[in-house]
Amino acid sequence: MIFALASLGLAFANPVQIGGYVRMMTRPDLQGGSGKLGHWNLYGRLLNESPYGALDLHYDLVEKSANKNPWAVLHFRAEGPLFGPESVSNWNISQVHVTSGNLTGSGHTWKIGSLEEYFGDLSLYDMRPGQIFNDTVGASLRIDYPNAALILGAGDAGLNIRRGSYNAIPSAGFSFRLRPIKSIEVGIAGQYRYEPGVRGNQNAPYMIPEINYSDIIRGEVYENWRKENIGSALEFPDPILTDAQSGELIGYFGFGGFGPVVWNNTYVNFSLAHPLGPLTENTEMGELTIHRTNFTDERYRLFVGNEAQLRLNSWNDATWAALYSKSWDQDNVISPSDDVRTMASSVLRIQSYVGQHIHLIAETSIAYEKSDNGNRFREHYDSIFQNTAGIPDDRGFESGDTDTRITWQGKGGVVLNPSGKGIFSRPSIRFLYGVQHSNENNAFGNAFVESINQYNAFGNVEQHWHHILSMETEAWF
Amino acid sequence: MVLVWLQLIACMAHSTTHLKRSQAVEFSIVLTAENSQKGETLTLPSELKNEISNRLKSHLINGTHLSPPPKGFSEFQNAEKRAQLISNPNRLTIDFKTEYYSQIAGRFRWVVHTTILLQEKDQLTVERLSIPVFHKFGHQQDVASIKSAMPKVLNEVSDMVNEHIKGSQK
Repeated sequence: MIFALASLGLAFANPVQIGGYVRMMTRPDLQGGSGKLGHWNLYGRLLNESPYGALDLHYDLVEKSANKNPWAVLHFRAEGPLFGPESVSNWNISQVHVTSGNLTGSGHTWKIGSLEEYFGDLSLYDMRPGQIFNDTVGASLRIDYPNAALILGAGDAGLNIRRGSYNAIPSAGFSFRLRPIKSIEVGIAGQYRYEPGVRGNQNAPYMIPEINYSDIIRGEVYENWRKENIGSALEFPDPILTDAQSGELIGYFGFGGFGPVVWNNTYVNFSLAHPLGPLTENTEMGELTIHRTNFTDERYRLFVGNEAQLRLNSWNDATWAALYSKSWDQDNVISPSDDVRTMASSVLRIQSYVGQHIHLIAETSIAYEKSDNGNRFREHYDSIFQNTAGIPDDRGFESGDTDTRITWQGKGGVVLNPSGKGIFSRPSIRFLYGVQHSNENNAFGNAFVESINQYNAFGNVEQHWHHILSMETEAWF
Repeated sequence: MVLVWLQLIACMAHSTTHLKRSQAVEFSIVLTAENSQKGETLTLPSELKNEISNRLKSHLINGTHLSPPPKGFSEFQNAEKRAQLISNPNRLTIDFKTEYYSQIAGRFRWVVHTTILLQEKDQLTVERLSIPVFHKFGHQQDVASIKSAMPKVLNEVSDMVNEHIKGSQK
């Protein structure tokens, strides 16, 4: 259906255009995996992503004409996973906005609706550290200068962050990109969100006094409070209204157009994640809401990423990418989590042109992931699952027997590119083989039973190598 | 061996026929380009002009670029009216209008709306194409979009020339 709509997009010059993106693949996994070589795209997106699609409608509300007259365009985008039981239900409307130009001056573009913007991406990882406003619905003004572009925006991030439990989160930000000379580009961007406490609004940010972090993780807040307050079970403390804030600051540097360097992007992103909404616990009094703003308001991350696209010669292109990320949570000093870890990774891809449309591709990656709050990964099928300082403890916060995961992947195969040469030329039809080694056991999405309980009827398996074959396609349209 | 075979198949599938005229003929060419959102005229690099000339040469057509365009050319948007301002009855005009579409899945999507007019004596053909192109980097904008769209534009020009050659042989 997507391809049919895409062909319509080519046929309609105006006022309707259809654009989008699709990646589809089949990877029968005979080692019990779910079809991906490794857990995620820290090891390179190739063979580590699942089917996905996006469909974007562009409608000219006021057609562009000569003489710098005002124009307006409506964009409506839906996207989500393809295939699988959740593919339809997980599609969502990700962007709706009206863009209008030449209203207040030549080179001025107003956008009302979803405001997402980014400098570019780290293609090999499919990551966008230069992105702002991916959660904000509001208004932005883009001013284009001959060698620069400024975007100023403000709106509400509450619709995307809180969703069904909406509370207003005013958000404002900016992006400035400057190209002083042809071969250099610099950029800076930032976004700030502030969620005020609104008395009486149950979706506002709250904190609960007299509870501790470990009880929240274990889901034992009420149980332990009751033990410590015998006889006053009905006097569980009321939530205290507070406020919340978050934001990010982004730096970007790009250069290229000389020697073998087509272009090199470097991104630095420092962020403070927005505090999380409440959890619920089931008690004999019914469902109890546990507010945790004060326990999730100090989650910081520093991310540095680089990607270089290189033209080695007329028959070989290469892209090299690397990233470093450090996340820390000043509230959580006891439990492994995505917010308390260090990561580093590097990916190298080479594409060789056997002919205009037949290419060979090879990619390798090495990644290091360290949990900074104790063990998180299991190296063996019969290793300690939950522990404290290496001792089995089913009330321990750690999971696994090591705090470090090191993953290597190698991938290669044949690429058929109807549109010709280019390492990022699409559409692509790919026939690939991939191999992974990890110190973690079964380091890929799977349906294995991890329990070492004697009543585990399925047994366990130890495997650190993972092989996969893939037939896939990827296209922008 | 398999790769060589695949390559041969691919080349056969993608090659565009370039019919040759029985004798060389002179054409006047006018290329125009603008960013349709900003209403700004774009300067096309000479390599793009050369690509057009070379493609015409493969049909035994000698193209001469008129630069700047004939007086009054920019006052009309209609391709036929523009063509009438060219004194040579053998004309090729190509008008590019670039439009930034959106960022999609990490790429910058642009659209190059292209109007191609080919006229020689009593034969007139006008084709309009909207060609989506995708850039990896934000600094790739109008001219980069036209460069990316050129293979499709050149193939369309060849198809139009082929039709004219076939028409003149009837």
